[in-house]
Amino acid sequence: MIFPRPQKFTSTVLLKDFLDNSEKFLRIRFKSVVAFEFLAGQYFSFKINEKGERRSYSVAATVGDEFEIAVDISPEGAGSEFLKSLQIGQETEVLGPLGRFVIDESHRQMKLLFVATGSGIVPLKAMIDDLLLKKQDAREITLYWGLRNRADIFWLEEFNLLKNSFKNFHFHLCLSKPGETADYLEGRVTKWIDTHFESLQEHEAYVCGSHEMIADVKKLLKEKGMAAENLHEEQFF
Amino acid sequence: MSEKIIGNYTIKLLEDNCISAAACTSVSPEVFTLQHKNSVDFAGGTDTEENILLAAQSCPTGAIEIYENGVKIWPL
Repeated sequence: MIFPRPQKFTSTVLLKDFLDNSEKFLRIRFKSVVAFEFLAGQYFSFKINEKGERRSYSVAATVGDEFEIAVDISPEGAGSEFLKSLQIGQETEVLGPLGRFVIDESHRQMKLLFVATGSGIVPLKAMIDDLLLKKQDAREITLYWGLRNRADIFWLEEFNLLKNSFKNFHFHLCLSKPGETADYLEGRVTKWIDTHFESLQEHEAYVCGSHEMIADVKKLLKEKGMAAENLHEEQFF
Repeated sequence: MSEKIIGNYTIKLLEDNCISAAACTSVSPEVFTLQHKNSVDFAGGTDTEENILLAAQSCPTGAIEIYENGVKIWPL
């Protein structure tokens, strides 16, 4: 697969808001001064200070010369502080696209399984939108997304719209601490993948989340017969 | 830990820190690769010091250390 060579470019903040009720997931839309190439699933690196420190954020969506990131700012690190400080109209230096966590087009016969926790959903949403909306991909596509509780939920309307529009898209939202609601699957993503699938030999998986979550999911997928070469991962930390 | 000298830079790879995010291989594929194993390795080529430093700065886990004349310049 040929990946576009990254470039440094200036981008201007167009929009900034929270996606969830707990004000944890920040969405920022940028307008780039140059045309950029991008494969769904890749990320951009933002220069966060003059010392040269950078932080990487997956791209959720691109339209023309605009792109959008969605970031969990609850860790309150240097990257979160940088993003919180950005104002509408402010310019920032971006490097990208980076990374090779993209759909492997050489495995066209495989069904697709996407698994994410928290903001690990961001690159997967870009991939799923690209597959369904841009490429009209007819393969079975199943997404498991794990969050802690109702207050963490975002993009529910978007994913339900995809589910209702594409018969080949199956969406499962799993809450580890759902409270009293019965609207969603209760428990971790691994519990429900284990429940729903006897075998995953015909599937290819794209998994994004913490190191621990990826390790748990990989172990389960291998137990279900998934070949190692069909398992793609991106670690968030 | 692997080590290589290019120009004024001594580059040290902390393979245990690498999560295969592939920022370095995107920025400087001549110097860095993920082809030979599941963590960063030297590709065998060369690049400008500016690009090598940018590749190190882009690594989300700080798996690439850069020294100039014996002084560590990245990570800070």
